[in-house]
Formats: sequence, structure tokens, C-alpha cells
Amino acid sequence: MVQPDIWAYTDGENTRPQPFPVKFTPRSERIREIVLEEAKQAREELSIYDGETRLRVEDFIPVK
Amino acid sequence: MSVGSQAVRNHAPFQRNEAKVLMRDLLLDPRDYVMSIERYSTSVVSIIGWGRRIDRKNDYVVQQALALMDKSVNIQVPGAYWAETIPELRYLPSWLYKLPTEFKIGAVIINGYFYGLTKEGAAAKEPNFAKYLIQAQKEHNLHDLDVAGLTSNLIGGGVDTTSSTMLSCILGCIAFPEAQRNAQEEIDRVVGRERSPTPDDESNLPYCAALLKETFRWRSVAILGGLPHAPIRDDEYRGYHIPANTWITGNLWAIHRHPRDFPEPDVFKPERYMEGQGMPYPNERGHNAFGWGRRQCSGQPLAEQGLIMSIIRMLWAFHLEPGTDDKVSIPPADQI
Repeated sequence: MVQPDIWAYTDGENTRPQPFPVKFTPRSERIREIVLEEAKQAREELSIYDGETRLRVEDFIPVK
Repeated sequence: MSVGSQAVRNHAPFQRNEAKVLMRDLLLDPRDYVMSIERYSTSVVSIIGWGRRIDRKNDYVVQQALALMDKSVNIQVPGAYWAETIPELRYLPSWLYKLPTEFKIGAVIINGYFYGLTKEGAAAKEPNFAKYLIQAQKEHNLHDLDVAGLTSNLIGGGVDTTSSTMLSCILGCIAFPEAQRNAQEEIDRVVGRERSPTPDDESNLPYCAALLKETFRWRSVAILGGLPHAPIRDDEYRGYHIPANTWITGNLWAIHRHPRDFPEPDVFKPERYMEGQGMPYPNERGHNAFGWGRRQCSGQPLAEQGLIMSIIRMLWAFHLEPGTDDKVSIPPADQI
């Protein structure tokens, strides 16, 4: 186990913790099942927003 | 589609669905939790902005959002460039001082890209901010730059801020296990472990709400309170004369750890925000993580709504603890 360092943050105007290892343990077997079931249903409901973008940043570099 | 306090209610259903997808990702691919959180926050603003969700962690827009924020938040650091102190430097030829030209070219590329994304988004089937803007552009004669600025602001304001707050919340919960334990006791009492939290549960979980507030205070993302301010006329404050237009930066880091308002300020302690533990901090909210005055964060209602539902769901689903020394995947920001 790595004890987290609460002072290990990035520099900058917006800061965030430096990467730290975390263990995510489902709090019960039933919870684990619910998480998987609900994610499946959520993705179905969200499928109305599926789509791809064809644009690339490079396409907007001005040509000299 | 926008991010004001009325409008955000309509966003709650897809925010909640994206939070459900995030829980699956934390369960199945825990090492990659940082990228899973980035995907979640980018997807929410992308649905609002362009009517398109983001399903994959390595999605092109996520990578661009991270790279853009990585660059732009450093530009905002006060005094980062000589040209801030000596504005005349910008008139130097670019072979002598490259910065202004680099910024101009960068702005052309980014504005072009975001205007392009907005036109593309306006053609998506679901209602979105891009559709509204492209319509409004015709009616109100908006410049392409205004449109690009308004949509890129969703990425600039909504991705890195939300993700960083989630990460700090996780850090607070593993570094101060008592806070996590108290939150989970409350969740067990109100929600239980046989069903997942619903929107109605949120108002019955005051400790979880306090835990989010404490995250905002303990590790505010914009530690200098966001963009600088300036008085519009000369002012006097405690014997100091402050001329009009002086650059004023609020040191939010110091404000949020003033021991008068927040005893033991470095301890992550949601109890500070529980009723009856009143404190003299000058506003009712108890923190200023979203800035103050004009140009305080316009995305606050969206951010708070999304964060509270995700944090409750995460603490309902998982016990969080420090991991082993395995490598954590981090966003490859410098490789982009």
C-alpha cells in the first residue's frame, strides 16, 4: 500500500493531485452486479448521442 | 442548452447515465481511473456542446481537451511571461520574441477547430448548444470567433476542473478514511446496498454534500480564484491605495486555509460544513472555489450537479483505499 501524499499536486493555475494508486473495491457482490447492469442500460439510453467527429486540429493549421 | 441553474436540470439525466458508465469503468479498469474520469467529464460537456457523447477514453476530443488545458492553464499563471509586465514587447519582430506569434497562430488553429466542431455539432440529431449558436449567429451577427469562444469555453471550463475535483475527492477519502466512513454510513442508512442512489436521495445526504464542499475548500482547483480582477476606479482598503485597473489576484489557497474560518485547515473534514458547526466565513456557501464577482465560474450549477451525483454514486459503489505501488495510467498530455 502506498500512503497518499496530500501535498503532491501539479503546478499551474489549475492544480490536481499527482497520480496516486487507488484500490476500488465494490462494497458488496450485489453492488458489483448493479453497477454492471446499470452501466449497460445507461449506455443504451445514451446511444442517441453516439457519433464520430471527422475534424482534426491539424486541418486548421494556416498554410503559409 | 447551456449551463445556467435552470438549464442544467435538463442535463441531469445524461449526467447521471454518464456517471453510471464511469462506475463501470472504475470497476473494470481501476488502474486507468484518471482517464475514465476525464472521459466522463469530457463526454458530459460534449453532449451539451455538440450533441455527441464520448464513449472511448482515447477519443480524439478527450486528447485535444487535455492537451489544450495543459497548455492554457500555464499561460494564466500571473507573471509567467515578460510581456505581461512590458506589453510593448509584443511589437518586437518574431525572430527576436516568438511568443506573440506563437499565441496568434495557436489561437487561429484552436478557434478554427472549435468553430468547425460547432458547425459539425449543429448538424447532430439531438438538441445542443452548437445548434443554438449557429442559429443565433445568423440572427445576431456573431463573429465566428465568438461562436468558437463560447463552445471552447465548455471544454476549458468543464473538463479539467470537474476531473481534478473528483481526483481530490478520492485523495481526501483515502487520506482521511474517517470522512469516507461517515459518508458511507450515511449512504447505507439512506440508500442501502440493494439499490443505487436516485435523484431523490441526494437531498437526504447532507454529509455527502458537506464532503463535496470540503473538497472544494481543501483542494480548490483554481487556487488563485480563476481569472484576475481589477477595480474600475481608485479604491482604499485598510490604508492601502489601490489605483483603478490594478491587477488583483485573490489568493484562494490562503483564504481557504485561514485558521480563523477553518481550524486545522489541512485536515479533510466534511463536519465543518454540517449544520450547527457554523463558522464566520463571509458567505453562505462557505467557500469560493468558483471565484467571485463578475466572471465567477458560469458552469457552477452544472459542475455541482454532476459532482454530487458522481461522488454519492462512487462512495455508494466502492470502498476506496490506497493502492499498491502499481503504475497508475496517466493522461499522455506531453505526447500529444
